Amino acid sequence: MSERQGQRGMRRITLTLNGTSISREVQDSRLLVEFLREDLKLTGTKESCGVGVCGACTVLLDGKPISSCLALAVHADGCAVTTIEGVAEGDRLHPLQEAFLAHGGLQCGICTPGQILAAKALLDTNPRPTRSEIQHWMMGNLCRCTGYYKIIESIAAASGAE
Amino acid sequence: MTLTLDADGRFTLMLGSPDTGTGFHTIAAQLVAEHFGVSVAAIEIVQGDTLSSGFEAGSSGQRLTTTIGQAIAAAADTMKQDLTALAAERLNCAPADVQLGEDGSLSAAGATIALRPLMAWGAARGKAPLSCQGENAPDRPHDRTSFVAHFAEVAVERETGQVSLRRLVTAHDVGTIVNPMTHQGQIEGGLIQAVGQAMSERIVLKDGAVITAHLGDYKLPTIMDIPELETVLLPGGSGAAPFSTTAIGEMSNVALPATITNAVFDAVGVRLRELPVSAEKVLECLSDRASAA
Repeated sequence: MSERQGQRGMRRITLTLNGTSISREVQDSRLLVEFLREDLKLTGTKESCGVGVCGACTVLLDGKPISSCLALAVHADGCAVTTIEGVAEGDRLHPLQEAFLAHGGLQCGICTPGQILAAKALLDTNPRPTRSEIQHWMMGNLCRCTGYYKIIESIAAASGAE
Repeated sequence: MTLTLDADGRFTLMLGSPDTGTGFHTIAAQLVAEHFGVSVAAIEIVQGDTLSSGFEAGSSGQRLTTTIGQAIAAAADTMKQDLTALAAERLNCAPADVQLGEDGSLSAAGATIALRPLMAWGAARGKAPLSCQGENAPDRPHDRTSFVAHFAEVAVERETGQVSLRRLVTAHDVGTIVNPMTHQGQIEGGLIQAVGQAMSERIVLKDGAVITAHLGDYKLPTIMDIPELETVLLPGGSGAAPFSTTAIGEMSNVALPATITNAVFDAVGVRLRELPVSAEKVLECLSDRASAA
């Protein structure tokens, strides 16, 4: 259906997704998380609460973390979107991914793509955050498994390593 | 679980119990590696089902390292007998003369053969791969009995009833720690779940209907809510499970709400009989106490 042109309520959007320009027809009402997971099959982005409070669906829109469960796909028109699939460079993991593995910053993994992207946005603007800055920045990303201590440790370990 | 030693000398462990994030599959691979003196990289874990892997008690109740650990030990014992018989045939000696080395090799009377060439030799004669099932051990609660002591430091605002959790010390009686990182992960995760239970999490019912609609209403602790934490590990406890492990999964989780309410009692003398510890409840108890005095 999304391939049909000019259909009512449909719009063509063009965005840079993980460094590659793409163009697709989407419904005006399509959520960004649905567009990523269902239309583009990029299932690394997780949807958990669906109401923008848990942070699991965090992606970067022009470098800033947003909840993709609250954003419409059409909001990404003309923007750069980074999902977890675009964080590593080929087989080379991002320093944050390496640090989460080395320091046990994840357990079940559902919140992890969102944690990594939120932390990436932090380190991209503040490469050496204090523990308190890490906690304030990461407040919107819930984790049920780790108790957060190892997430802080992981982000601290990755800071300045880029 | 089913343990297979393939023709190329690699092990495959098929488990019915999933790794829910605790690191259990890593621990299972470590246990197999330890039994045979091979590297963890030589073990492949396959998430199967209980039809193909045999019955397992499942991923809960801090029982995995204990029950699967025993199943792995039983399967490893059987497989070592098969392996010894194969090596005896290859080295022309009696099975009783074969020694399994710490590096996974097998030797008898001065002759040594590594696992991989032995399995290749066996495969060429239709005697490999080797496979055996490990039955899930009976789930005896004393196998996973372990001990913990918590200490909580709280601050109570008398005018509002607000309780802040400042510091936790958790002390654990531990046996062999198979994987220090996942062990500590279980402690920290369990503690903060208990902090949520004690301080903020609540399902609210109104006229029989749940009105706590989503994670915006049901307050999990965030990264801002975690107290300063000190963990004390007291080794020397000898667990009943293979390699003297003790259970850790739920140890950090169960007692903490009582610890926190005891700390509130110690601070301002009010007994809370209901969770979570809300400012409203504490304030109500404080004013009841003031009017009774």
